[in-house]
Amino acid sequence: MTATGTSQIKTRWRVGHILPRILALMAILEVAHRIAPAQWRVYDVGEARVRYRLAGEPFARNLNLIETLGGDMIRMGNLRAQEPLEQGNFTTDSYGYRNLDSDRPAAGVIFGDSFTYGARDDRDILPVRLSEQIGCRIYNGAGPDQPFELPSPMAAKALANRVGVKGGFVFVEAIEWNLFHPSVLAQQNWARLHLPGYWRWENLADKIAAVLDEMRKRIGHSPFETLAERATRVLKDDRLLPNSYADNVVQAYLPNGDRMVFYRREMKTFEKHWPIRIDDYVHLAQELKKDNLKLAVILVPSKFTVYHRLLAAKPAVAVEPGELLQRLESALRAKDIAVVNLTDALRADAEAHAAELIYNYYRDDAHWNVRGIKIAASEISRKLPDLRKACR
Amino acid sequence: MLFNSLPFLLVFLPVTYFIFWLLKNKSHRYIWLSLTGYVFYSFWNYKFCALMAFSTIVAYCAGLGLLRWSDPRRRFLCMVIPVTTDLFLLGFFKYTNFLLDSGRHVGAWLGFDWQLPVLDIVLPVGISFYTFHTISYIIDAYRGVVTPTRNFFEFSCYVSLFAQLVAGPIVRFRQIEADLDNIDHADRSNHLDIGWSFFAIGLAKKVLIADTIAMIIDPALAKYAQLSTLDAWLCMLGYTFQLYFDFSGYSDMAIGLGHLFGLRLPQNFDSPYKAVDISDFWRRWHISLSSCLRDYLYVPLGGNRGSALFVLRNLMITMLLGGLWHGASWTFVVWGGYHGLLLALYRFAKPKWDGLPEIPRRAATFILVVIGWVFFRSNDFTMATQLLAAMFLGRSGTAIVARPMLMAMVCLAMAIAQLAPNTFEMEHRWSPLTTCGFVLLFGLSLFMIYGSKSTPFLYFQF
Repeated sequence: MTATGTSQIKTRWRVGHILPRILALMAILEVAHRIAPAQWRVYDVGEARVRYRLAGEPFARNLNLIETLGGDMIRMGNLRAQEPLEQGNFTTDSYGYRNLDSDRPAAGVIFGDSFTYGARDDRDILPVRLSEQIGCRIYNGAGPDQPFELPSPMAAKALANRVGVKGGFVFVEAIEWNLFHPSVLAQQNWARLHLPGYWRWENLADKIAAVLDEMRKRIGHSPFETLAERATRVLKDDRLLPNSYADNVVQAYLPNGDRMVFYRREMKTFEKHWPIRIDDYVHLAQELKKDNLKLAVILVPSKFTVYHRLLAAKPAVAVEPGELLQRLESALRAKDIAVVNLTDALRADAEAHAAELIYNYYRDDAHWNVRGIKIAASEISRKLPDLRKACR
Repeated sequence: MLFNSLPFLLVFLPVTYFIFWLLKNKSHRYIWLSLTGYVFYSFWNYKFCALMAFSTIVAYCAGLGLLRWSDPRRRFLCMVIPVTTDLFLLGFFKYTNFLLDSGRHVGAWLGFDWQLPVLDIVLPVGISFYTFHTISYIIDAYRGVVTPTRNFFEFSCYVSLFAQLVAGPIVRFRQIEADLDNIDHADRSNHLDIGWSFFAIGLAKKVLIADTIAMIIDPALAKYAQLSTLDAWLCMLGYTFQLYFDFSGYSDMAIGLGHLFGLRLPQNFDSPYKAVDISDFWRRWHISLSSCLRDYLYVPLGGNRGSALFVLRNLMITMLLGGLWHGASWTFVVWGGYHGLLLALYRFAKPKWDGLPEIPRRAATFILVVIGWVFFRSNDFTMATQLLAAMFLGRSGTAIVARPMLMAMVCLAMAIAQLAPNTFEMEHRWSPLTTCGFVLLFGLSLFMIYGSKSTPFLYFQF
């Protein structure tokens, strides 16, 4: 090797030579990762199915994924799981909604969030279980966006029409902890209800915002952040480093020692008497009626509302859990809107079977399990006798 | 935008760097650095760019006035008006609510119910730093220490240089003037190694040491009333090192970035925890601020001249205002007063203190500094008194989370702060093996940046 060669090698082993190249490499990988499908390997199924959806659609279209699932509260609070991981599947139709088949015409469509579309298995989700109860197809129109906002009459009618609902039901799910969310309260504004054509503009604006949001997510979020964040989570186990995620959840115990993990946000429901607004429900019901469609509101209690009476040491609350849903139920009934409050049925089941270690909500998750879904489907079918008529 | 954030490291820095070195003309480089400074600043709040621009224009015009007029009265006005303007801006944004709040408390104490409003004033980040830049420039120009520049962009570049814009070091114009004048002849390769070396060390100090300590002590100090004596000491030792590694890390990064653009920024920390007395500590801690306070406040007040009482007065005024500079809170004033008192006591006990062996002096100085940080860290006096009570009165409590890790981090930080040379004592010529170590540290720092949200530097709040 010549002297010059030796000097060149030495020159390369300089901080000023190597460190900027590391940054350049990171920058190249960042750009490449945003384009290359290698990203799929970075995200878990739950993340990927949302990340690769088209703007304005709930999930990526025509997915058929097998996934291993654990409790969302475990992940949110970075806790040790007490329930085993389960394998599930996730199938979406050509519109991006979680439905096994989209050919048969439907008797109804449900709009909602993870309580509606969520279950380990495609065949266990609420619309499918409800379809089994009533004997005809209910289309799942739920998406993952949080907080779930009521669909506009135009969007509701469009989807109902697309999946062949004629003279049937349009269900909307109302989760207890979503009802007081500022964006949910703010959407019920005067312009939406009274300005002609406002819905169309809003719909367009929503679509533009969705496209921009997707772009922002693609550019702003690095796949490496996801990987590194997962790795650093392992260190934050309250032994090596404090678990900074623990505050996202509330842990409480049943008398038998089983732990129930609650979403921190759901506890906010019981801090005060939140106002309820039903203008949008009334408006939606009126608009749907013009197309011979009926609105039915499904009131879903949070896990704390169902289980708080059974907890050994109850977190303090200012308002009785379930009170918000009761008020909403009464207000909707007064306006002649069909409503199904699932609180009593789920609570009764929880109280009857907790001693046998049978639960209707996952202990490690904010959502109901298959048992909870079956109870919900049966309760909806029982309380809405007109639903079976819509099948004919 | 933070130095320890991905947008800065992967986008802002490379773009700024490459375009800067593509430009050959001096004015173009000034304009580019000024522009990038404003872009960098606008990531916090673009509205306050106008405030910085105003402060820059006022100081620049004052400089032109001082250049033009030799009449003492006019020169005096050229100094007083812009300095007053700067101080007014600083006072309005930083201290208005503090004064109103203090007025309310005094009123309540006297039995009056003064209905003083709470104003919704947002503190522009870095205002304490860039107003000090402009003030030091005007006063130095008035004193004839520097010749004011006629090139607006050179001055603008000095004020808004992103490397030192929001948390110092407080660079005086005279310290950077030569490099600014030669900015078109700067040799890129000469500064590359030292710049990256400073930057990587600073990044590791901040991300690997300061932020790890913060992860443990922040939740623990949030429950300060439950701390045991051992944990209170551990937390305060942790904070002592968090503050040092955070701020000196930032300063190292700023100095490294300066080098990358051919500008040598001054040293801001000289191993302060190796200080053997409190006066020595202030010669080593936040050097750019303490030297400003000395030159623009302490010396004009009379400095060491006059009776002991007079010197004590000067010391106390300087340190109280120095404390207040750090934040609009009485806890900072008390921290400043505490250090003023220590400095005064040292002046009287100097012969005896200096006669003691070095190790006890160093240890005692360190402990006195740690006690001072209690006021600096506390949100209010309740927290400060509770922490001091826990440290000195003996208290039991539940063990803090991750105590062994905190102990390990404190030991590591202590070893580095007490035994290792500081970045200005290093030669920054590394062997291939050490370079591998750098790569590892840099990679780890990037991993931590990726894995957790970037945390702001502690001194941004000042």
